[in-house]
Amino acid sequence: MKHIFWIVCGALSLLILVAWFVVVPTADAQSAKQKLDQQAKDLKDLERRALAGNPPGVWDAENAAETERLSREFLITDRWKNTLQPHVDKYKKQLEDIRTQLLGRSGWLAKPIAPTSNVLEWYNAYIQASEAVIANLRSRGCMVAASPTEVVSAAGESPSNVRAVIGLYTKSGSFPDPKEHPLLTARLRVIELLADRLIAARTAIADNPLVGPTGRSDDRAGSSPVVVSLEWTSAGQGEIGQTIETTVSSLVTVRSVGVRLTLAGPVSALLAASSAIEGNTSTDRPLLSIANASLSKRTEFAAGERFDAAAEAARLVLTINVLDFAAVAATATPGVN
Amino acid sequence: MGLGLQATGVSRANVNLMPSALQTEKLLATKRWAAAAIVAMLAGTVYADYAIASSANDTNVRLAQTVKRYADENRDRMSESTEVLRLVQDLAPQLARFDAIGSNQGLAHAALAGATGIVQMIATTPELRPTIPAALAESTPALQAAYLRSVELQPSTEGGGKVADPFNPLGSPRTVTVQVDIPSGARQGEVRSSLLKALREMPVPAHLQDLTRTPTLFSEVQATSDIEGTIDWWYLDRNHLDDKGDAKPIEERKSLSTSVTTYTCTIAAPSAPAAPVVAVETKP
Repeated sequence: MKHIFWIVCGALSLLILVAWFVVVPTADAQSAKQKLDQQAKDLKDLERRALAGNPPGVWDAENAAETERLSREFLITDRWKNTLQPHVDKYKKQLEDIRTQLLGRSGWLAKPIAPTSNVLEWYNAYIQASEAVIANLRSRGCMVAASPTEVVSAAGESPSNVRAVIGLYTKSGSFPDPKEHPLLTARLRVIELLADRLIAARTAIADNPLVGPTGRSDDRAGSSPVVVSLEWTSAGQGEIGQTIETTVSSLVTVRSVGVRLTLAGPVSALLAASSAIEGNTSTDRPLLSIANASLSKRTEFAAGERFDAAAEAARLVLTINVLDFAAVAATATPGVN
Repeated sequence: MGLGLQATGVSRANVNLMPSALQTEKLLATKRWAAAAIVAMLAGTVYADYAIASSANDTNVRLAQTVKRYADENRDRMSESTEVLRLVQDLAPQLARFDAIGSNQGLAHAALAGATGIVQMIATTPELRPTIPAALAESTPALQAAYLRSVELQPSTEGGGKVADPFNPLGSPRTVTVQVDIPSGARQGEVRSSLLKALREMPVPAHLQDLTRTPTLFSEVQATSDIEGTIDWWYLDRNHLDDKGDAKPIEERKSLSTSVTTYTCTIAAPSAPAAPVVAVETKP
């Protein structure tokens, strides 16, 4: 053991070298340094955003990229909340108002005709309501007047061919089943809606001093858009309407009741009718949308028919979607309530 | 000889007669200090390295913690504002989508009324009215320069019989077909080109400007066909007197030769994004 000193020194050296690689925290230091560098960058970024102050002008809140830029270039502070909160409250209220209004509009289509499930009572109420529409349209010149030979039933029901002109149901045998009441109710409400708008267009023309009460009587008589036919489209058998894809599908489920309406009359009256139908001015009635339209002049005239600008007879065919937002309550405005 | 040379100092005597093992032992015994020095230096170096690295590491960790604390505090302070900002980001586009419900209305009426108005304007322009043919001279009022035959707004090109989005009527270009009877005569060409020009220049109604985003309703108008046609009507004069002064009502079918010109007009689908309608004043 005369070399024990050298052996001990060698072992110590080896031990120190191993310790150098194991104990000295090189990797941790590098990591900490990198983390610090990153945080220093973040800190500088915060400082830069803080120095940028408040964003100037108006910010387009609908633009996600613009919002991203705003939070990237400016320091969001607790003062932002005070500025933004009123807008958020306003948005929530507006969305709620829209929801309420759309629901209210669609509620019209489901407005009960009679609060009964008795098929006889219900059908009598249906006749009463539907005949009121016919009488209203006829009195305003928007439907061909009853012929002298027209036979009305004891219950006051017009012949089925007359009722069919405006898309009304007439029973041929048994009374309609209660399951059919929602469909018939919705269709009657659509007819009432269209009738109201046609009559409004008629009234607007009648109020015109050129053709109104002080105008020529034949001008007044000829200024109504007269319903030639009303057909139901775009729904399966027994279905009120069909669900459609729309711009707002992610927010609202929209169902469309399809109608093809054919009107006849002077061009001015038909244009007034298309304007009134597409106007959607009342906020408590369903929205109507015209998918396509065709206005064509009659090229054949019977003997004695006038041929001049005032009496040009034309036909207007409108393909209409009556929009039902009944499902809005279930899907609209997530996270607002 | 060698010893002699060594003795005289000419040559050094460097021959060591001691065995090499003894020489190594002697060397090891005398150089122990060197080994101790190496171990000490090595230990000192490792310690210095450790101390410096640890110190830097500690400093860095401490600074990182400080920065993190400030960042966390800042994040806490802005968390409520960030949440409100997120709500704005969520609600504003929802609200904007409902704009479509209002801004889509009136396209059909604009197409019908616009085209009808243009035809009527051209029809009643005095310089464009045709001369009345001799056969009709006694029995017709002044003729119009043009007579509208039909205007049709074609349905949106939605495939598979699907109902097109009623809130996006210009999701695809729409076609409006206008058919006009232009009475035969010298001014027929002029009337046709006047109609084409007027349809091309027809301004978009104010309420549709957000929808179309173009100054004119039709982005393209072409006269796509031109065929011969007639306009027929009945002339009725119940008070007509003949040459003898007797009542002789007239009831005659009259006919006017025309050319039926079809104008195919396109309402383009807008490409530019809609102008923002939900804006927030950001100044606190």
